[in-house]
Amino acid sequence: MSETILEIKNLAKFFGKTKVLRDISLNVEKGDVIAIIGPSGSGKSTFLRCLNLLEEPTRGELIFKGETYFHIIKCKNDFVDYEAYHKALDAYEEELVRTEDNLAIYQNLKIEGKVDDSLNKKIAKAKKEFKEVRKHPVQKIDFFDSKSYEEAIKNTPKFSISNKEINKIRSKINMVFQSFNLFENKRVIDNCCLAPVKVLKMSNAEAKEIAIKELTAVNMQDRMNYYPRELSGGQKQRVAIARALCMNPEVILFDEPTSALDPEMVDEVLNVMKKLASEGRTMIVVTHEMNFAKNVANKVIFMDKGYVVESGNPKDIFENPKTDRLKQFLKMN
Amino acid sequence: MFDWGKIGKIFVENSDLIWSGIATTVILSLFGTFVGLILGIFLAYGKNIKVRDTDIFIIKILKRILKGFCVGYSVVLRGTPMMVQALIFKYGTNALGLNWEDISFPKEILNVFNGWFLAGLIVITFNTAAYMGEIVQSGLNGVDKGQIEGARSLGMSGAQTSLFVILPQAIRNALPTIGNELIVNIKDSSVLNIIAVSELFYRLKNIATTNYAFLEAYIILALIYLVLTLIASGILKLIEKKLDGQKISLNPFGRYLRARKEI
Ligand SMILES: Nc1ncnc2c1ncn2[C@@H]1O[C@H](COP(=O)(O)OP(=O)(O)O)[C@@H](O)[C@H]1O
Ligand SMILES: [Mg+2]
Repeated sequence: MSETILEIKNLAKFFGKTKVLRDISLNVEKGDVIAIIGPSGSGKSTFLRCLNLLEEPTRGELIFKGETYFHIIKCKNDFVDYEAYHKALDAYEEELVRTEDNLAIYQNLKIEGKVDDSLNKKIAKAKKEFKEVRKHPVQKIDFFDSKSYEEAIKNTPKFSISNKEINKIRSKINMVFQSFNLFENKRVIDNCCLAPVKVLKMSNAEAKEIAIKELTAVNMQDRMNYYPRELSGGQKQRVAIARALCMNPEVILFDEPTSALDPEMVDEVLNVMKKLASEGRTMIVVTHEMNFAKNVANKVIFMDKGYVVESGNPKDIFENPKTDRLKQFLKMN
Repeated sequence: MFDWGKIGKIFVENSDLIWSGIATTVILSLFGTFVGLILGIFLAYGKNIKVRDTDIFIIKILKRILKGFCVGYSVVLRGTPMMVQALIFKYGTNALGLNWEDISFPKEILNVFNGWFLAGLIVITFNTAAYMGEIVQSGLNGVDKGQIEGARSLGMSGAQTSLFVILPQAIRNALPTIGNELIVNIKDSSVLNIIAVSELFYRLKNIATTNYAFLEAYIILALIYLVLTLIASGILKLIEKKLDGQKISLNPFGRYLRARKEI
C-alpha cells in the first residue's frame, strides 16, 4: 500500500490574463520520483512554485497528506468539460487550416495557368468545404468573459490559510532552485542549520549534527566552513540539496537543478539526486536531463503551454509517445 | 609664517579642553551613526511598506500614514542643512518650554556631558537616520530576490528571512557607505557648535579667541580631524575584512593557500 502525500486537483494559475497553468491534476505517492519535462515557458516552474505556495494558484485544490492546504473552487464559467472542449477546439483549428491550405493549393495552380474544367470544380468544392468549416466555429471560451480577471477573483470563495500554516507546509515541501539561492552571508554549515533552528526549533547542537550528516551524504563535509561564493556551481547545488534534507521534508521540488551548471558538474548533482531517489525520497523534478527522467523517475509528465499533454511511466513516454507535440519535443532533445 | 613651537605650546596648555572636545566629537559621531543606522533600518522598511488590496480598511490607512511619514521624514531631513535643523530643534524645544541649559548629568566625565550635548546627540542621530534609511533601502534592494525565496521555501517566516538573511546582506553590502557616513559625521558634527555643543570645533574656536592664536588653533583642529577620520576609516577596513571571513587578504594567493591547507 502506498501512501498519497500530495494530491493536486485542477490546479490553475493565471498571471492576469496569461493562463500559465490549466487544470492540472496529479497524485504524488510516497517515494515517487516524478520528472516534469517540456519546452521552456510551458509553466513547469510555475507548477512547482504553486505546490509550496511561493506562487498563489488561481484555483484548484492542494492536499498534503489528506489535509487541504489550498482550495479555491470556482470561477465564472467553470465546470466546462475541459477535455472535450479542447479536443473540439483543436479539431476545429486543424480543419480550418486543412481546408484553407487545400483551397490555396488549387488557387495557386490556377494562377500558374494550368486551368481546366476539373480544376475549377475542385476550387469550387474546396471553397465550399472551407466555408462549411467556418460556419460552425468552436467558440473560444473566455473563462472570465465580461468581467475582468480581478473581479472574477474577488467573487471567488477563497480558502484561507494563515502565514504560519503556509510556513509549516513549506517546511515539509522544500524546493531546490536552478540558481541555488544559498544564503550568501552564511557559511555552508550555517546555511544548513538556519531553518532547522528557526523553523523546527531544533537546538544548535542537534541541527549541527544533522547538518554534518547531510553534508556528508552529498560529499560536502570538507567544505563546511566555506562561504557559498567560494564554491563551484555543482558544490553549491549539493549544499542546497543538503540544506533541504536537513529539514527532513516529505517532498523535495527540484526546479531545473542542473541547468545553471557547467557540463562537467551536472553528473555530481544528478548522482546525489539518484541516491535520494534510491533512498525512497519523494521528489518532483523539472529537468532537461532526459536520461534522468528515463532512468530514475517512475513517472514522467510532459507539459506544454500550461497543459499536461502526456503523462505515464518513462518507458511509455520515451518509447511510445502518443502526441505529435511530445514526439517533436523528444526529437529536439 | 607661524611658529610650530607655539602650536605645541597651545596644544599642551589646553590639552584638557581639547581631549574633552575629542571625546564629545567621537561620542556624537559614533552614537549618531550607530543609533542612526538602527533608526534608518526602520525607516527603510517603512518606506518599503506595501499596501495590499486584501488589507482591511484601517490597516490600509495606517500603512499609508506610516509610509508617508517615513518618505516625508527622509526628504525633509536630507533636504536641509544639519545646522538649520539644530537651530530649529533648539528654538522649537525652547518654545515648548524645554531648556537644554538646565539639564545636567549626575556624573561628569571629561566635561563632556551636559544639556547641549544631549541636544546635539538627538540632532545628529535623527539627521543621520534619514541618510541611513536611504542607504539601507538601496542595500535591501540590492539583495538578490532568490535569497528570499530560498529562505521562504524552507518555511522561514518573513521576519526571520529579513532578520537572518536579507538584512545582514544589505548591511554588509552597504558597509562602505555606512562607514562613509561615520566619517562625514566626525566632520559635520562641528556644525553643532551653533547650539553650544562643546565638541572639537567649539573648543578650538574658544581656544583660538582666548589665546589670540587663530591659525595655530585651527591647524591643530584640522590635524585632529584628519587623525580621527584616518583612524575611523582604518577600523572600518578591518571590520570589512573581518566580515568577509578574513578571506580577502592582500596576498592574492592567500585564499588558495588556505583552501589547500584545509583539504
Ligand atoms: N510572475 C509572473 N508574471 C507574469 N508572467 C509570468 C510570471 N512568472 C511566469 N510567467 C509566465 O508564465 C509562463 C510559464 O513560465 P514558467 O513556469 O517559468 O515556465 P517554464 O518553467 O516551463 O519555463 C511564461 O510564459 C512566463 O512568461
Ligand atoms: Mg522554469
